[in-house]
Amino acid sequence: MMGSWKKGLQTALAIALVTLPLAACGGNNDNGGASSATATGGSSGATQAGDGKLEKVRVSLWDRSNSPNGQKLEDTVIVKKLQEEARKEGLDVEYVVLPRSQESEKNNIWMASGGGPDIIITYDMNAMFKWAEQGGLWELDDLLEQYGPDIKKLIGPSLEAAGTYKGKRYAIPAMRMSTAAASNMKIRQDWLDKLGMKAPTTLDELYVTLKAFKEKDPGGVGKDNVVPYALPAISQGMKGFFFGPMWGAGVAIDGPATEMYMPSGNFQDGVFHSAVALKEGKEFFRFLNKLYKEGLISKEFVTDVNSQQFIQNYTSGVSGFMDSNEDPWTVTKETRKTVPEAKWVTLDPFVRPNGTQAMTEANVYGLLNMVPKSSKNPAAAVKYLNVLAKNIKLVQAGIEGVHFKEENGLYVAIDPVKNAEEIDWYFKDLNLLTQGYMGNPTKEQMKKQFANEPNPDEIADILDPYFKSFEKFGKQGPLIDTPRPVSDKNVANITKFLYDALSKAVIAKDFDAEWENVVSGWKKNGGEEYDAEVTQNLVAMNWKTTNE
Amino acid sequence: MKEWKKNYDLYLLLVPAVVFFIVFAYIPMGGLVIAFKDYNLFRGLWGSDWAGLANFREMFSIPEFFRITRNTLLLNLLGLLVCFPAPILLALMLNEVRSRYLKKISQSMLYLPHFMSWIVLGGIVYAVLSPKYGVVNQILRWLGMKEIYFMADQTWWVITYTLSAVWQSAGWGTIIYLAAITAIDPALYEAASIGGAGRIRKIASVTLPSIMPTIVILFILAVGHMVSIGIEQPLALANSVVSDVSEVISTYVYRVGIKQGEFGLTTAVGMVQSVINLCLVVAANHFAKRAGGEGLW
Repeated sequence: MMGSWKKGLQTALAIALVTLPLAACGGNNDNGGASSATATGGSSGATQAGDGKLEKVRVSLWDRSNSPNGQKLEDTVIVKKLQEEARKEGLDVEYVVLPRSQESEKNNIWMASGGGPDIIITYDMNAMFKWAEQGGLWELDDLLEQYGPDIKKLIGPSLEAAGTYKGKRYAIPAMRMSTAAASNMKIRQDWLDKLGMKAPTTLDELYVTLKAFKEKDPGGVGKDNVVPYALPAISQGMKGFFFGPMWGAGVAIDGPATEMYMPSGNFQDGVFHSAVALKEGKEFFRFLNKLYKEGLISKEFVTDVNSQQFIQNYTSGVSGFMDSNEDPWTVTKETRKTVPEAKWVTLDPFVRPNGTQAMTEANVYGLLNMVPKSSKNPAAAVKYLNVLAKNIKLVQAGIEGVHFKEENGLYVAIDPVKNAEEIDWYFKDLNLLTQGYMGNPTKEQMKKQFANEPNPDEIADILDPYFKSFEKFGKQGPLIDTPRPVSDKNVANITKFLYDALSKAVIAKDFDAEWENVVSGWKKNGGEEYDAEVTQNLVAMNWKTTNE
Repeated sequence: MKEWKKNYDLYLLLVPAVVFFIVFAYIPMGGLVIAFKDYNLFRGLWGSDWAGLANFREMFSIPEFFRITRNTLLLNLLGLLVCFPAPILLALMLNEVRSRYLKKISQSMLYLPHFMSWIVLGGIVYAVLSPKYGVVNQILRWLGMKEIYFMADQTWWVITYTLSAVWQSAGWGTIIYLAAITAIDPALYEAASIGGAGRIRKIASVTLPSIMPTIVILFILAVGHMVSIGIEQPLALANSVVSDVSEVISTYVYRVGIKQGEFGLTTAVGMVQSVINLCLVVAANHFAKRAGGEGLW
C-alpha cells in the first residue's frame, strides 16, 4: 500500500507544480495589460521626419471597437493627417489606444505606474480633483498662457467654466458647442397616433400611456412581447435612463454629478437632500416598482447589464418610450431598419408636482484633458492641443474638400457613405477640444445638414422640438471645485450601494420594506455626512436651486 | 557541504525554479507594505506616509466587510462540497468506459468548457437561464410550470454559481485522477477478480484507496484556497440584485481598489486573506497527518 501512496503523491505534486506557475502568470495579468496597451500606438515612431529634432508626445485615444472594416485606429486618414500637421510644428505624435470601457482602470493604472501617455482624458471631474489633490497632475496655467493661444481663442467659455481645482488649472476641458446634449425623453408618435392618444404631460399620464401600449399593442408585435418602456439594468454601463421621469416626480439636480445616472437631489431651504432622502425620490421608485410589477418595463431589466436588451427592445420596435442620450432622429433611423413606419419624437419634460418643467442639459464643458506628472514634457502636450485647435475642422468634420464642404456655417458631408467608412466611426474621439462645431441649428440649417437623406423635412420636424426643449427647459447642475474629503471617502461606496439597492427596490414585492433598506444602507455608507458637505459647498457658492 | 558538492548538478537544475519563486512570489510580497501606508500613487511605495494599522481598522469598519467575507466562504465551501468530488466521480466513471472512442470523445467534450473564458461562459449562462428567451424556462413552460428568474434570485444564483463551476472545471479536474488511476498496478485488479469482486467492489476496494493520496493532497490544496476566490466567475455572473451573495473579496478589491484607487485598504484585505489561507493549509495538513494519511510536508 505504501508504494501506491508514494506514486499518487508524486503524480499529484508533479501536476500541482505544473499548474502553479500558470496560476501565478494569471495573477500578474493586470500589469501585463497596461504595458501591452501602451505599446500598440507605435506607428508614428518609425516615420521620423528628417528636419530637426521632433518633440515626442503621446496622446490617449479611445477605441470603441466599432471599426467598420477591421481598419486599425492608428492607420486611419485623420490620424495620419493630424500627425502630419503636428510634425510641421515640431511634434512627433503617438496615439495610445485604450478601450473606451476601460477608461477608469487604465487611467488609474497609468497614474500608478507612470507609464501613461502625456495627455489622459476623462469625463470624471472627481477623478481630476483626486489626482490634482495628490499631486499627480501638471499645473497648466503658465503652459496654456505660453503655448496655447489658439486653445484659448477656441474654447474660452469652457476654460472659464471648469478645469481648475483650488484656483489652479489642472485640466483643459473640451467645450460643448451645443448644450442640447443629455438624456432626453422620446416616445413613438406612430403608436400614439394609432391609439388616438395625446403625448403624456405628467408622470401619471405616462403610466396611462404605457399601460395602453401594453394592452392595445399598437405596434402589432404581440401583447406578450411589448416592453412599453425600454430600460436596462441600473448600472455604470447603462445606456437608457430615467432622468426625465424622475425630474417629473420632483427631483432636481442640485448635487454634484456622480456616477449615478439620475437627478442628484434638491437644495431646499438652504439644505441639500440626496434623491434617496427625498419623499419625491421614494415616490419615483415606487412608480418604477409599479411599472415593473405590471410588466411595463422589462421583466429582465436587472440582468441587462450591458444594455443589450435595451437596444434590442427599441430597435426591434417592441418599445414605445425611453429616456436616453440619443436624439429622436438617430433612434428613429435605427428603429426604421426593422419597423419602417416607426417615428420617435421628443417628449417635453413632464409638469412636476410644483408646476415647473425641467430637464438636464449638458454643461458647457465636457471631456477633460490632463497632463500626468509622469509626462516628461508637459509643454509638448499643450503644444499638441494647440495644433489640434488650429486644425480643429479636421476632427469636427474631416478634411475640407474631401469629406465635407462648408455652406453658410454648416459642414456638409460630400459623400456620407465614404465618410461612414473613412472617418465617422472615430474622428470625434480625436477631437479633444470641442464637442460638435456649432450651436443649435435652425430648421433651415437642419434641412441642409440632412440633404443627403431622402426626408430632410421630416428630420427637421423631428429634431427641431428636441433642440427647443433643451433651450426652453434645460438646467445645469453645480460644479464644486473645492476639496470634499467626506465625498472622496464615501462616494464610491455610496454609489456602489445605491446601484444595487435601487435595483432591488424596483423589483421588490414589498416596496416600502425594501425602501427602508435603501435609506438605512445609504445612511450607513455615510450618505448624511455626504449631504451635509454638499450643503456647505452649495451655501458657499450661493447656489440657486434647479427645482424652481 | 559534502552533500552540496556531490550533487551540485542536481542543485543547479533547481536554480530556475528557485529564481522563479523569488522573482514572482517573494519579491512582490514587498508590496504588502502598502497595507501599512497611506498610499499615494504619485509619491510611490517609499514616499507615502506610514499609516500604522489604520487600513486594517477601516477594513473592519466597512459595512460590507463581513458580507463579502461570508460570501467568499460560502461560495468556496459549496465549491469544496460539490466541485471537489465531481471530478473524482467523473474520473471513476470514465475509467469504467470500455469503448476507447467513446472515452476519448467524452473526455474532450468535458475539457472544452475549461478553455473558455468566464465572460463567454457567463453570457451562455445568462442566455440559457433567461426567463423569456432561455431554453430552461422554455422547458419549464412546456411542462406547465412557472418560469423562474434564476439569475435574479439569491438561492438560485448560488446554485447556478456552484453548478456552473462544476460544468467548467470538473472535466479538466479528472486529468489528475485519471493519471493516478493509470498508475495503479493491474495485478491488484486481477487479484480482486480472482477473489470474486465485481466492478463496484473493485472501485471501492482498489481504485479509490489507490488514488486516496492524490485526493488528500488536492483536498489540502483546495482548503488552502478557502478564503481566496477567482475574480472572473463572480464578476461574469454577478448583477446588482444578487449582490448580497455575489459580492466577494476579489470583486470588492477590484471595484474599490483598482477602480477607485483605494490601494492601501484593498491590500490590507488581500493580506488578511492570505494569512487566513496559510493557516487553513497548515491546519488541513495537520489533520490529514493525524488521520493517518500523509500530508504535504
